[in-house]
Amino acid sequence: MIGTIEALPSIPGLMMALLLTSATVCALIGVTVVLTRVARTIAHAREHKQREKVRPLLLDIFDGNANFTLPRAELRALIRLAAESATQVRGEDRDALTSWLTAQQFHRECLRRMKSPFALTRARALDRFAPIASLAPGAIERMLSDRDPRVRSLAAQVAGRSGMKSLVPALLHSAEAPRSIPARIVLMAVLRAAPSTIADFGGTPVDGNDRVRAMALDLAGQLNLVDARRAIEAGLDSPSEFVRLASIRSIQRLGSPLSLPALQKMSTYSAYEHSHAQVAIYELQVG
Amino acid sequence: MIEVLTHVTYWVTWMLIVYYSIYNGIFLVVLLRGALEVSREVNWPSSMSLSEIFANPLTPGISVIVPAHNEESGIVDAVLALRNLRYPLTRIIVVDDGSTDSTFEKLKDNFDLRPSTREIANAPHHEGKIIDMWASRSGDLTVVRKESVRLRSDAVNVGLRVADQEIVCMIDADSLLERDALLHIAAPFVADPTVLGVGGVIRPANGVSVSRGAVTKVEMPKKWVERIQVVEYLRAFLVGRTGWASIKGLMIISGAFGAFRRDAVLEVGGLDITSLAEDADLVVSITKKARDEKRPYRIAFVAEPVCWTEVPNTFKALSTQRRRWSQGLGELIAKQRKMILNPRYGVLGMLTLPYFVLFEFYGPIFGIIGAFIALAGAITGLITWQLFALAFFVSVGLSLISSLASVLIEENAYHRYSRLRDVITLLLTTIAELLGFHVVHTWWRLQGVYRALFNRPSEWGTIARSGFDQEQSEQPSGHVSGQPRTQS
Repeated sequence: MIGTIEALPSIPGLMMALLLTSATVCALIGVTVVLTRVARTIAHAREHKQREKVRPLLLDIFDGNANFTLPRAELRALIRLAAESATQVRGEDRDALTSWLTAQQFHRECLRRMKSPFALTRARALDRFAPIASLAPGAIERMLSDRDPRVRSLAAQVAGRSGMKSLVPALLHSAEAPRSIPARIVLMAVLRAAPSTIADFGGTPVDGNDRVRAMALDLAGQLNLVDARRAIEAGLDSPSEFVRLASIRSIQRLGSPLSLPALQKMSTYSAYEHSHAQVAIYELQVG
Repeated sequence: MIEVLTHVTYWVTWMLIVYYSIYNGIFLVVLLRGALEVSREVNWPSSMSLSEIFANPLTPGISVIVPAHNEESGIVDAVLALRNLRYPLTRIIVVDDGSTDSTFEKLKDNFDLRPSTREIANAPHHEGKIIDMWASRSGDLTVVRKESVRLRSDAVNVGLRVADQEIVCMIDADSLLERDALLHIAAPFVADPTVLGVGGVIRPANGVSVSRGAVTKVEMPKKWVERIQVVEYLRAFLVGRTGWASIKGLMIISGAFGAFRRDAVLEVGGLDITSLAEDADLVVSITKKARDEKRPYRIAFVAEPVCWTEVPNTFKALSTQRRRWSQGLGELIAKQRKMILNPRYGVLGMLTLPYFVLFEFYGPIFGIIGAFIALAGAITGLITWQLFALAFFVSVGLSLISSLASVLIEENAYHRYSRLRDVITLLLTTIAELLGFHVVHTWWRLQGVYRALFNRPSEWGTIARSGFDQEQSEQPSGHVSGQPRTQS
């Protein structure tokens, strides 16, 4: 055995300390993994049991016979179940569930959480609030300018899914707002909200912001809003190429020969725009 | 003389300690970021986003490119599974890469294919000549037959020429996607227009049961060689890549499952058919182009497990694969060396690439030399056992902790292994991996380093595959468990 150099530094007890530390950390992680599994299994079983117990009460809520009193834990389980079910049913059943949830102050809890400083809490509250979002469109509109971009996108999706036509102008403006929402999400949300008339778009078809105006005109065509024809034709005279191209696309989609004169007399500024206009004219002429 | 030897051993051991401290330190930071990101993903209410993507006419279409070479046993099921995915607009492109078995005949018979004369793009470049093109009556499936040049990337490039949707997704014919996989992978593209590529978590399919193209039961595989890869994939994909993506330094999106904006792929000329690491090469090239042109971009990663793929089930096959990975990494580093430590390329240039050069590529050299000197020094008394213990702690101890932490993250977030005994096996495997497999793995990587440094010919090798375990009661056509198939 060759002797070590005494001058080289060493730390007494280091070996044992390191071995013990690593062994302890590893053992702790291992035990945590197993305990997590066991705890989750027990929690799932308990939740499943509770849900199965309260599930029949959903039928009472649908029938308007919700005059039952439940222990606190079971009531919470029923509220959770009702909130989830509200997104899966339609018509009177949905109305019955939302009124019961409102009676339970479910919306107040969601609205309170939607003001949380944590993005995740706000997002989860927004998601739970979705089935009854039509009760408070103002709250959803506020969330369209949330400080977290993912929450803003989620708010747009909630607005679209809830079919809140009153939020269509706000949605379109949010694509160009300082706290913006990606244009594709906005377009998808408006399509989902499915406004049935150009009046639902508010002032956006003549908006000063060219991108907002172009999106509004594009969507009017995609939604086949016949009453939007004049607004779309007016877009052909816009100084913005975005708007003019959106108008050409929408005229093509509407397919109304009444738009032919406006299309024929429009001034095109690029070969790309000109070719699009010519295709649209041809399609309108041949029907 | 002894004094000199003692000093050399002492300082080499200290260098080893510093080296592994930095290596494991960086990985622990990546792991923490990955854990935070996974936790955020799991808790974030995503069901609404997914259903909106599914139900909307503005959802971007996806062309799924499936290169297939002698895949007669699984190709029909693979296409059926792709057709059953929950996504509104999917175009499947199977590139039959010179199969000598009945891959094409099976596709033709099962999907009523007819000759197609549709025009295809002129780019990107590929070597193997296109023989002909077929399409299903509904138009959602196109099969291109081409001559094989024994390169997967060449087949993918042919698929890219045919792809006509906004997003292209490349998968292996033996990969199995979760039903919502495309929705998950499309979500970042929808939410952020600057996203150019999205990777997804891949899990070993060995040990899982499949019914009608969907995973129904997840258990730990029987063989240790497969179990070790389960731990590796957890650490590398679930935690590693999620963490790297969260610090904007993701370098690899696996060829087994990844999606890109079609334009971004075509701009860099598709896949580099001369590269052994064509998947990493593509991501690095796309990042480089975006950075060079000062365009905003993002390479995202979806932590949700979306793809299952069969991993090698013998040490021989695994060694071939790992040698190839190591060699491919070396070739990639040589090709993109100007990006290394270049601030223009952000985190990728300043952290990811240097990390991969120093720790992933040259790691085996440092590991073997350092471990030998430290162990020999401790045995002969040239260094104290305390110093050796410190070296052991920062190399093996921290690695073990990061592996166990990966298992903890999986258990907290996704808990896909349904039985407690699988979880315990997973924990034991982390120890087996580090104490036994790690040494062998280092040796294989060293061989890959040698091949890359001395320009030895590339080797793809042949991996015997056994197919997925099908649930007996619902066995679909063609794909029989235990039937060997090969893939180059």
